[in-house]
This record gives sequence, structure tokens and C-alpha cells, in this order.
Amino acid sequence: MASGDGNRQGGTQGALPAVKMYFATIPGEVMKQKPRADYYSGQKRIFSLVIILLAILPLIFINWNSSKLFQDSWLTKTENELSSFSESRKELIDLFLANQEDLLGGLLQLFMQEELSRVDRLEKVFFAVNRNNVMTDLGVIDGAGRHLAYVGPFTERLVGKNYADSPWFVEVMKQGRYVSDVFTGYRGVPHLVVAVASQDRSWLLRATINSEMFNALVASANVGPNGDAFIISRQGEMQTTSRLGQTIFDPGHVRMLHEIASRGVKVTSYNNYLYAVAPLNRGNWLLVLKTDIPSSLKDFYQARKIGLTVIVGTALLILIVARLVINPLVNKIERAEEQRMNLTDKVREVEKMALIGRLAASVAHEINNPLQVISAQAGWINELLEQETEGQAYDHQEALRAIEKIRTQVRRAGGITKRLLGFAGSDDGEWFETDINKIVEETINLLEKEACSNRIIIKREYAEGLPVVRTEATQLQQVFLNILNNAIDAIGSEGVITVSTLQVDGRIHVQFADTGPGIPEHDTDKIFQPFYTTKEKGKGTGLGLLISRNIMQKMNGDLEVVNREQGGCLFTVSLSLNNKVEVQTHEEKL
Amino acid sequence: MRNKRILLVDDERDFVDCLAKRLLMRGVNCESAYNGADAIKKISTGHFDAVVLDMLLPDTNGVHVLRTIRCVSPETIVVMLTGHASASDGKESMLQGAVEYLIKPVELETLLEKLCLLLKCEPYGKILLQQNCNDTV
Repeated sequence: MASGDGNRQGGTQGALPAVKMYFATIPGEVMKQKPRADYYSGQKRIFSLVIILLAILPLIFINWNSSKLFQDSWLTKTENELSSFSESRKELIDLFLANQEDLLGGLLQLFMQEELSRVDRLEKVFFAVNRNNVMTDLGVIDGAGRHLAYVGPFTERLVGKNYADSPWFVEVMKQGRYVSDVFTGYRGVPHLVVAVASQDRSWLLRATINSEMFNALVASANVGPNGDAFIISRQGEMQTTSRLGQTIFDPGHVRMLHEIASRGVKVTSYNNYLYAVAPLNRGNWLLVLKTDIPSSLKDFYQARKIGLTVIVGTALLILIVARLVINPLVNKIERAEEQRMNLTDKVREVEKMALIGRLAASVAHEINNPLQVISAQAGWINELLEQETEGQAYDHQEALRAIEKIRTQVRRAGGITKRLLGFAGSDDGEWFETDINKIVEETINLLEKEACSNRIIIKREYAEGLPVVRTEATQLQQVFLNILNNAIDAIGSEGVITVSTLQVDGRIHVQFADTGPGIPEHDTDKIFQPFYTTKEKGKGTGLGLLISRNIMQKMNGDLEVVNREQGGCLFTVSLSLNNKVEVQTHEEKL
Repeated sequence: MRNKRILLVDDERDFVDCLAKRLLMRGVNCESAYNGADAIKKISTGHFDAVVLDMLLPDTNGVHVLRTIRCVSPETIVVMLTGHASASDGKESMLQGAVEYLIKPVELETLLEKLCLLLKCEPYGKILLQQNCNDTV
């Protein structure tokens, strides 16, 4: 193995690079095409992704859609429940307050002021009507606001007080019956009162509602674990205690609640809460029921979490299956592509060998001629030397001239073999900075003798100062040889092939114009088809132009052909000046 | 061979000149032409017993010159000598009347043997350089 490697290295650093570098203007920089392994890895990823998306997207859509429907129906259900609770509580509370008013109104009609102004009498009545402890106290107040009698826990603070200036007193005297907002009053404790005045406003009964009982009426509403139920006044003051401890409402919030109530919208969502609002106490209060949406949707979120877990699990399963299915599939495609490329390479190689076969006669002539001169000159030297042995004068200068001619012919033959090797060199896909004019000239040199013998003149019209192009020189030469061979065959004998190079925008064009018969009109579409040939059997493979065009397209170039107006064909090889190919240094390559 | 006239036609001047010198040394009377037109001109104006003709010439090909020779001087023997190793060319030459088709490189002795055989003359003898090569290049 060691010696084999050594030989290979020796070969790499020896003659072969010299042949390869023959075409290179800058030998240090070699270009190589990107490896295809990356491409297939990318394809595997894309296929996997597509399959996963195709499988997962409908699942996600179905899950999203059903979640949305479920969420909407859940919210609707919660809204309906909240609305229903709100209605029932409103009726209950209004009925409760009306009952208290009616009770006091009944007492006003049953008893005279003087009778109830007696504390013992009032106490009896109070205990008789307050068996369920709905009221905290009961008081009798005359039309001037004087507190005449009182039964309840705040006797000391309230007896003898005058309520003439109290807002509730003013209202009850005005309206006849009134339920106040919660206020502290003389007793210094928040409470609400129900007051009913006599028809002639000469006296009135006032009862304080048991706060605990009143609160229980509201708080017993089923509003969920994080829900709340309370009553607020128009000013936003709490009339019952909030289960969540809420005490103050900002004015904006209160306005919003009033608006909801006034518009008749029973339920609305605000800050992750669903609100049901109903007016109470002749519109002076608002019953607010609110329920926490996330808490209400807790079961739904749980179900959604399970759904997402199922989707992720399915995605992982599909991913594994996709990889298991796609990997062998893409590997198979990769192998097929590799085989196709190998076949293409082989076809190209066959075409190249056919070209070399075509060139053999011409090259043999090119080599045999110097050999003939060498042979003749060597014979001549031999004869000169024989003369000396035969005693005649030896023409030293003549011998030297003959030796120099031998050297000249050896150099000439060497140049020819070098050119042939340059063309026949293996196609290893190396890209060089290439002087196009030089490649064209080398190619013409290979065929010019043959052209000449057929009285075909090859004219050169090279543009000066063309930039170098990154390209595969040997393959480019194969293309030029194909075109020139075709042109020589097409002309047959006596004609002109004009080879010109020119720069057009960002491309270099190499044009081959011949004076042959051109392409038959009905065959112009077929010229790049495989096995199309106009040559006699055995002279052409019918693959030359197809391969040439493939080669050019691989180099980001193109090959086009048109019939010239003055007769013959014009082949145009175009090469891009901006070949974006991965650059690898010569040292790396070695 | 001493009384025979041979025309050497080849665009390889070094070869033609050297061959001419060496043939002259052997007493063969020969002339050189470096292209087809020159060859046809010389054939048309003078008699040659044999023509050694290259296949690829700068202005025409050997078969074309061969055809002209067959027309102008049918009795002249034509030996094709070419580096162009093409079987079809050889066949074409023989069909057009060439008597021999030799592929370069050919040793002088081989060429002379063929010519002697074809011209039915005595084997050649080497002539001293001083006597025969004074006027060669």
C-alpha cells in the first residue's frame, strides 16, 4: 500500500500535473464543483419536512378548529349561565328589597305613629316581623326628621338624632319609599336602610338591612372558582362585599358597566373576565357577576394540552417513519443519479475516444513527418560519418546542421504529443483560469493540417485582451474539436472556417462560421438530439453536439447554432465570465 | 537508377532536401517540389520516371496531384509516401493509380529498394559525396 500511495503521489507531482497545468494560466487556483452529498442530505430534509407538514398540518388545523369551536361553545354556555344567574339574582334581590319596603308600608298602615313611637310597642312589632333576622334595627322618625323610637343595637348613638338633612331622609320624603346606598351615618358602621314614609309624610319607618344576609343573597351566585358577585352604586361604591376583596372601581370601569346595563347587553368580556351586569333598586345599583375566563376554560385547556401532546407525539412518529421511508428512497435516487452520471461520463468518454480516433490520422501525420525528417537526418549523419571511416573528408558543419534539424523535429513531435495528451487527459472536473484564445488556437492546430489537405482555410479573428475564464479547459477543447470536425466534414473540400472570439456583455463568445451547406431546415430542431448525424455510417456517433451542449451548460455556458444567410452554419459557444464555482487552491487539491 | 529521374513532392523541406542529397549521393537524378502546384508544374514541363508524393500538401492533397500526374504523364510511377495513416487514403491512392503506398517514417534503403523494383533497374550504388552532392542544399 505504501509503495502504491507513493507512486500515486509521485505521479501527481510528476508528469500528469504538467499536462493538466498546460491549459492553466494560473496553476495555483483550481476550481471544483460542489459535492452532491450535501444536495441529497438537503433533499432528505426537504422530503421529511414536506411529509411531516402534510401529515401534521391537517391535524393542527383540525385541532385548532375544534378547539376554537369548543372554546366558543364553552364561552357561550358560560355566558348563558352567567346571564341566567344574573337575571335570577336580580329578581331575587329586587323582590327582597320590595318585600322589605312592603313590610314597612304594611306596618305604616297597621299602626299609628303614636303607637309605634313607644319603644316597647315597636320592639314587639320588630321581633314579630323580623323572625328571619333580615333587619338589624327598626326606627320611627317623624316628618321633621326626629328619631322618635328605635329598636336595635345602636340605641345610644341613634336615639334623639335628627335626620332632616340626611340624603336618604330627603329622598324618602320625596319618593315615599327608598332604599339607600351603603353609608356609615351616625352609627359609624356601613349599612343600608329601607325607609317608607306615610302617605302624608308625617312620619316614616326606617329599617336597616342585615348586611350579612344581604351579602349572602349576592355571594351565593355560582360564578366559578375565581368569579365574583357584588352590587355597586352608580358612583362605583360597593354595596356588598366582594368575594375577591375588590373595593374600588375606576370611573372608566363603572361607566363601562353602566353602559352595558343601559344597552341591555347582559354579558361581555373584559380583561379575561366575563361580566354580567343587571340594574337593581330602580337603576340605582348594578348587580355585577363576573367569572374568570381561564378558570372557566380550565377543562378545555386541559383537553387542548392533551390534544397538542398527541399532535407532537404523532409528529415525532411521522418524523421517524418519514426518515425510515425517505432515507432509503433518496439513497436509491442518489444511486440512480450516480449511475446516470457515470453513464453520461462514459458516453462522453466514448465520444471523446471517437474524436481521438478522428484525430489519430491527423496526429499520426503530424508525428510521422518529424520522425521521417529525423530518420532522414540520422541516415545523413551516418553517411557523413561513414565517409570519414572510408578516408574521405568529414563535413563537420553538415553533421551539426543535421543534428540541429533532428532536435527541431523532436521538439515539434513533442509539441504534438503534448497537445494530444492535453486533450485526452482525464476529465477530473478541474476548473482553471483559462485563456480562451489559446485553447481555440491549440484546437485549430490539431486539425489544421487535415483541413489544409481538404483545401479548407481556417481564418482566425481573435479579440485582443479577452479576460481569462474559469472553465474546464479539456472539456472546452472537446467542444471546439467537435464543432471544427463537424465544420470540416460539412464543407468536405474547399471552403473557409472562420473562428472568432469576442466579448459580449458578461460573456465570451467563440464563433465557428463555415461555408458548408448548413443544417437542413427540417432538421434544425434535431441537431442536438442524441444519435442525430448527417455523416456517413461509422464516421459520427451522433452524440457530439449533444455532449458538447451538455458540457457547455455544465460550465454555465451554452452552445447555439444557426444557419448563416450567406450559407453554412454559425456555431456560437458562450461562456460566462462570472462562474460562481467553489474555489479550491491547488495545494488543497494535492 | 542512375539514368532515372525522380520527383520528390513533400512540404517537409528538411526531409525533401535531405532525401534529395542522399539520392544524389547514390547517383539518382532527382528534383524537389514543396507543394502541389510546383509538383504539377514540374511534371508538366519535364519527364520523370517516378514521383514520391506526400498525401497532405499545403495547397492540395496528394490524390489530386496523383490524378493530374496520371493525366499528364501516365507512364510515370507514383509512390505515395505519407505520414497520414489512413486506410481509406491508401485505398483511394491505389485506385487512382499509385503503385505503392508507404507510411512515414521510411528508411532510405527501403524507399530505394521499392523504386528499383518498380523501375526494374539495377540496385543502386553509393556514389562519393564530392562527385555528386556539390549542388545540393
